[in-house]
Amino acid sequence: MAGPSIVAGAAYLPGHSLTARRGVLLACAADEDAVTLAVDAAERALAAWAGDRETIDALFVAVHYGPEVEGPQSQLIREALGLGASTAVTTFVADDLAGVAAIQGALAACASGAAQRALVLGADIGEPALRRGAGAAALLVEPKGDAGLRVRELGRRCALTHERWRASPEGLREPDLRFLEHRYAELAEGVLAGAEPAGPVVLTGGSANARRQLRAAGLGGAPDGARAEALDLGIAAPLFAVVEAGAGEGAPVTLLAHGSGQSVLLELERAPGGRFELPAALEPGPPPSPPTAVGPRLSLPAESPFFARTWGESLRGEAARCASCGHVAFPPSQRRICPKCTGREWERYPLPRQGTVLSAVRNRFLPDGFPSELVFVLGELQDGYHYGAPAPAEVGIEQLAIGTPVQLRLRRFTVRDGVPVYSLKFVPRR
Amino acid sequence: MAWNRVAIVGAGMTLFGECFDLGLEELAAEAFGAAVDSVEEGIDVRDIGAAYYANVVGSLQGNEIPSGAALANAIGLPGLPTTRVENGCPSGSDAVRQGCLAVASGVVDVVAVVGAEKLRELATRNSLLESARMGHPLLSYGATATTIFAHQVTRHMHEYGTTREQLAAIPVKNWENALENPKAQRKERITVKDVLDSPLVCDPFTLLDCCPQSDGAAAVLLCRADRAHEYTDHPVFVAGLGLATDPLYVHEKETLTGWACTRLAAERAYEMAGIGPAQVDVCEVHDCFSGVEIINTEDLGLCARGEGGAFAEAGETRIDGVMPVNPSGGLIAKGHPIGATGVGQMVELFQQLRGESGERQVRLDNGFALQHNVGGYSVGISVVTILGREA
Repeated sequence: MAGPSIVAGAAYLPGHSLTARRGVLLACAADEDAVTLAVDAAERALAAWAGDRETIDALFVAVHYGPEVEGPQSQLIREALGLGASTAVTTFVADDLAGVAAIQGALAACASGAAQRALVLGADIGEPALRRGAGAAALLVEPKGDAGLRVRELGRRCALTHERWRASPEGLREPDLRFLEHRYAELAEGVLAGAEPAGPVVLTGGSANARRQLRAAGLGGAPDGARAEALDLGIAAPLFAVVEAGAGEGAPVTLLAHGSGQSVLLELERAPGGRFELPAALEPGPPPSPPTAVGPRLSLPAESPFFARTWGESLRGEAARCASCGHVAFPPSQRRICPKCTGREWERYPLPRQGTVLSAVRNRFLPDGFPSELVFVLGELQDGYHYGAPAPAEVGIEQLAIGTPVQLRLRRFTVRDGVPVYSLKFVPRR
Repeated sequence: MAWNRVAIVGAGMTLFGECFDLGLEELAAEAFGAAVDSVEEGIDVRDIGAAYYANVVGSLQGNEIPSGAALANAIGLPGLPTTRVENGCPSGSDAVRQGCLAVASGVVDVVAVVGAEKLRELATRNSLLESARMGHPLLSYGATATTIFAHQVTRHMHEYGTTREQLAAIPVKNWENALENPKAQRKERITVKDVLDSPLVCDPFTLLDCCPQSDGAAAVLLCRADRAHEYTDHPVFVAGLGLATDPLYVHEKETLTGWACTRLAAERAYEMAGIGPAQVDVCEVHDCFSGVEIINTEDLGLCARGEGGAFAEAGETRIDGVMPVNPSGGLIAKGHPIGATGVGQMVELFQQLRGESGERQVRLDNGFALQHNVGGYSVGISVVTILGREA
């Protein structure tokens, strides 16, 4: 197989769901956002890939809109993942096909030699009012992969459409769905004409009604077991479909991705050896608690150099290990001299993310700006090292009895002046 | 052989509580005046060669940044070399320690130590709780005082079977002791059921497991031991001092059922005093939260490791028990105006060792008393002082 290919991939599906007209609609926890979803998906993909993340030199991020992309959020993702400071970071936003653009951008970068290894992330916090679910997926692209998926664009059609991609402040006013369906059916017909897909076609994006109409017209027909159509993950949906295609076997899968007035037809040709990991079977979760617009005030503004100095290591959960005695210290920026042996040589030491609860306590008496109850966890990580972190609001203390397996995950800690501040939190292992 | 190079010749304090009508300077002046007035033979304040001022949150509460100058002026001695000590909850006891070191150095003969704090300049939710924003926020996540002690108490309960009722025995005892202390903030009798039924603050502590937020001040006058009899026939001597620090953050601590800093500070103080826990007649121990007193009695060697809960529940730490702990009412009932707390403990033990404590007087067999604080952000520092009535 010549040319770039997608060699690995994984997805992250949030644990909450809402009842929707056509089944489950996934939703984020109150302290999840595009950054945390992207990091969760990326960590899974990087684990499946099992390569050296320091060799990744390009990051393509697709997110949807609004607060998700205000400020340098893609840099937060890069830093949290521990990708190098020379990584080329490109962000695609405000387009339902941003995920497809990110995939194609990565493939083009690898094909041209501009990138050696690219990580592609799509994350969507969902929009219940528009019946769009939340989720994220991540893909690894290499220039001369001999395994995994090779992508070929079979066709593309564009048109003026009036679909809305974000709920307006004054509330949702449905566009004319029948006209939209008509338009997308037209686009689909155009793009499929003469394309002769080799196998079943997976549809993502567009309105749900449009997809149903397309299937009724014989233009759809997802492969057995495909969930990409059922789980509308917004911008992440095409990436999720790619992960599903990669995890399967046999004839090429054709992906018909709609959105923002475009229909794109991609052929995903499969070769063995790709490392794709799909989330376990989905169990509908509880509805999410409403997100808090404003979090607790910090002792200093989030933009203070005070925070900047420990920002990266806090996002990554990166400790340091003493080169002389092996003592592990966190945060490394506050421990330049080893408290065990006074050594001054350190090596980077990523903290394990899995552990068990040593102690969990509910604090119900907090200053203004904090939630009325916050659970604090002291955990023992797999290497025996201890770490203290809060639990997300949706996790009750009854889920955190001493000895419970937990994992550290990146979540929002607070938002001040529109600037989100992230921290690791302990959540029960799913 | 006890250290005994420094003596306490006077001690006094204000009421601990909600002193809404008194400012930081007024409280400091009142405590200083009470200490001066307590000196039997009288003392010319111009004999005082230096002062140490313990205060923790002054600058967060609208006061001028309380440097030594604030105290020197408040006690009418501008010009006096005065140093502010801010060292977490042991600030007061460390100020005493600094005063002792100054006297022992030979630079000054008489030192005044004043601890003063105004925690009630703001509503409780915005007062000490603002500590939730201190420290590194992404390492503390809004940890308040309860949270930073709670994990250890939770682990103690888990590992040793310490019960919720045993925790509650601490406030029940300390509130009862405070009934006899005219300076104490809390003046009621409570039951174990009252403690268990009060609202949860932070697991495993309910409201009555917690010390209040207090205003108050306390002062002691230190003097070269060989000059103590110029001021009083009943000096109390500083037999031993210990200060120690702990691995800072909770995730760095190696023991989760005690505080290494207290154990180390106690070891140093006992060694300096030449005594062991068995010779201690009475102690004032840091009881900011019920379970913390239980753990501290173990860390100080006053009972066996893991048995602090049963020890307290059996009444052994009552005024008439084998090891009276916090006859003053402790932080839980006497109050906890942070900078004043350690100095206030010295005031209590000064009076206990001189047999002046009235209804809450303990029996003195060996003539030694132990004072202890632990705290600081992340519970990282401890001071232990051993006082004796014999030179």
